Amino acid sequence: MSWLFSWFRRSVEANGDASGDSRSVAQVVTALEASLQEGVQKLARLQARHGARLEEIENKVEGGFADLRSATEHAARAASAPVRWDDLLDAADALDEAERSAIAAGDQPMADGLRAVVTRVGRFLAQQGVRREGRVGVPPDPALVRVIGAVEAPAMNEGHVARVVRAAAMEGGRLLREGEVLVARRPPPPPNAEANP
Amino acid sequence: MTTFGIDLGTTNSVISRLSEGRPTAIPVAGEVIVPSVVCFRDDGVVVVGREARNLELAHPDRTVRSAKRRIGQDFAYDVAGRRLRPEEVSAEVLRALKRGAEAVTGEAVREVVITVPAYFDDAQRRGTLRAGELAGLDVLRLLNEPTSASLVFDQAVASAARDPEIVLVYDLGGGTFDVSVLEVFGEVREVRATAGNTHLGGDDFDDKLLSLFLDLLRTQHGADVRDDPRAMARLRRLAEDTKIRLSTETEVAIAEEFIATAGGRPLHLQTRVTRRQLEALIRPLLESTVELARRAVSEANLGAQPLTRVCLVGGSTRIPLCREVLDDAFHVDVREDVDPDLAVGLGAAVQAGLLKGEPIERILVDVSAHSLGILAMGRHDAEEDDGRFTADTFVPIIRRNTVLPAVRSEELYTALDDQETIQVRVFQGESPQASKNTPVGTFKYDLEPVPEGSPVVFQLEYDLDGVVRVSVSQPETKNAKTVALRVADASGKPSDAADRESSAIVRKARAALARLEGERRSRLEGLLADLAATGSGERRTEIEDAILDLLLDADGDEAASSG
Repeated sequence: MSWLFSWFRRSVEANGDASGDSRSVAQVVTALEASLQEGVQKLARLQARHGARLEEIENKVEGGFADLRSATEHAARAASAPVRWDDLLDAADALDEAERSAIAAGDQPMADGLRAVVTRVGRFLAQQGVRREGRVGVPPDPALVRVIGAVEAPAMNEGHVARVVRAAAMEGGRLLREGEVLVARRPPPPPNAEANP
Repeated sequence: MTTFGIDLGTTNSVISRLSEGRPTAIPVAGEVIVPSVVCFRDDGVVVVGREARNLELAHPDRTVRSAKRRIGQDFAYDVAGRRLRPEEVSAEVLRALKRGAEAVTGEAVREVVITVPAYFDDAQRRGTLRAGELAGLDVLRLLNEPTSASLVFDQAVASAARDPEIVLVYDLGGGTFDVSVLEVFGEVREVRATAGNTHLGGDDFDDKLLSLFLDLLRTQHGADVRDDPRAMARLRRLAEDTKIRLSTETEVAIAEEFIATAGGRPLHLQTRVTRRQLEALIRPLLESTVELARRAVSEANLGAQPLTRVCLVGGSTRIPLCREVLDDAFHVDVREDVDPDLAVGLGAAVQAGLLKGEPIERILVDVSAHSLGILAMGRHDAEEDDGRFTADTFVPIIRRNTVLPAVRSEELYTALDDQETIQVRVFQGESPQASKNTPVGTFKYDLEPVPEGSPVVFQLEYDLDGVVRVSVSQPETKNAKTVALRVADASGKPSDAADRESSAIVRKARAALARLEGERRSRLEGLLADLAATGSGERRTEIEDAILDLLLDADGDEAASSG
């Protein structure tokens, strides 16, 4: 910009009266230069302020889009989240246990009722493609169940499943959750068994 | 040929490889974490991993776990009628990992890096090498576990440090605890000190909760179920589930129906366990690990070298208190960028790639750059603790460097009887004083009438778009409120266009500070300080103009020099 003022000054001086007041012309030019410089500076500041404001608005718009994207993804995640069957499967296990408890207490009608409820739950799960797995009297399948202990069960083969604590659950060919079983162990021999011939 | 990395752990093992320059854990029989358990069935078949663990109690005489504890010792297992050295048992684990990885990748697994604890002696290292040979592997290198973890953390951290760094690797697994102090300088990593407890881990935390449940059954029902394997198995599972849930929730409702029978009557366990209860139970154990960490730091003879960061390894480090005690003890960056269960195995894959000259890409992990939390009444500075509570305590809920997206919650308590509202003020920053952190947003939450000291749960859900959902709720009521706030707003809540413009100028100026030097930089710092101390009005406009002029001059000079 300064080249413009220099040119302007030279031009005025060259065209002015040689005997005239060249000092006042220079002053005018200097004042004009200062005024123009100030104007340019104000313009630049204004432009910078507008730039800053625009940047802030852009940030806000981007933020709004981020909010929208986040809310959409959140809703989509909630909608597509796999159904968790844990509570229902746990409830079915608890009903199994309640049935055993009723049998132990000699309350067969209660046990029959509970068995019927377990069957209903199993049917509902099957309709959803979920199968409970837990058979007693067979060797434990380590792909499906974890052996968590042993109980005395003289009537059963040693090492076979004596009791299902938690049924395994399959969805198609996929293991949804591992089961837990107790296996049968032989009762210890009576203390005098070795003494007898 | 692809190279693989193996974390041959005491409890679990992991095999991984570099895929497109990034380490990836390979699922073996559907799981990336393979229990280090081997079962020698009576039909001659050797079962390894989850299935072997499942058969352990059915065939204890045929099953071996944690062979790593015995490796390198003059010892043999009597198992299934055979005498097997620990190396031979470990070789079965390695063989299963090899076969599993080959089935998944379709590539032959031959050259591997295997990790070992930093404290392993020569015999233990030779034993591990022998196990690799027996499994048909060409062991390129045995890598110290903390070194392996630090390798993968370095891939995740955009560290610009050119000076040697001191890193503490804190590895708290299911059954063992190891801590190591490493000096990292460029490609060189040196283990300066190690400490640990070979019988401390997450299982001990489960035991604490198990004891709590047994006590409850005893006091509530007068029942002792310790001899009931079914009840004990259920309680053990319940303890582990509760522990895991309490890492993200502040309270867990327990309902275990028909847990046992007593006198022919069924017993049910119904209770609530809070995170505070769990923390009270496990704090002494965690403090013992911090003591060991301090000892390792002391034995590393660091002199004037400061500890730079702490890297969390092992599944048990997911417990919030674990990070908290380390924060309090060392006051340095605590990193949890990498899956703590996989960090060692992934690092082995990185090392294998480096040895084979494969390109390694940076692992891109989104983490929270600052802690996010809320304002509460409390005593924020122990040193100035005069017994008075101030309403300026910052309670971090999602801590800095937490992997995103993240959900964390914290329970706080009402200050008054029948308190009517809470003004929820969310901040981000690291100062214990909320006023020194950056406000994110604020909203009002109306309370249902409760006595003083009643719990209120604050849950923060922070996603990758910079949106934080703040949920406030009162336990056992339906009173809950969720508000979404954008963390990008965290320069303060602008009230009008002028304020917005003003904060944009400040942001530009702060950004420019990074590239300015000398007098211009100090002038800008001075102007920013003046601006911070000035309210609205003409003086503020003057300072802003001065800042804009300075920035325009700097831009002009830069353009001239580049042109």
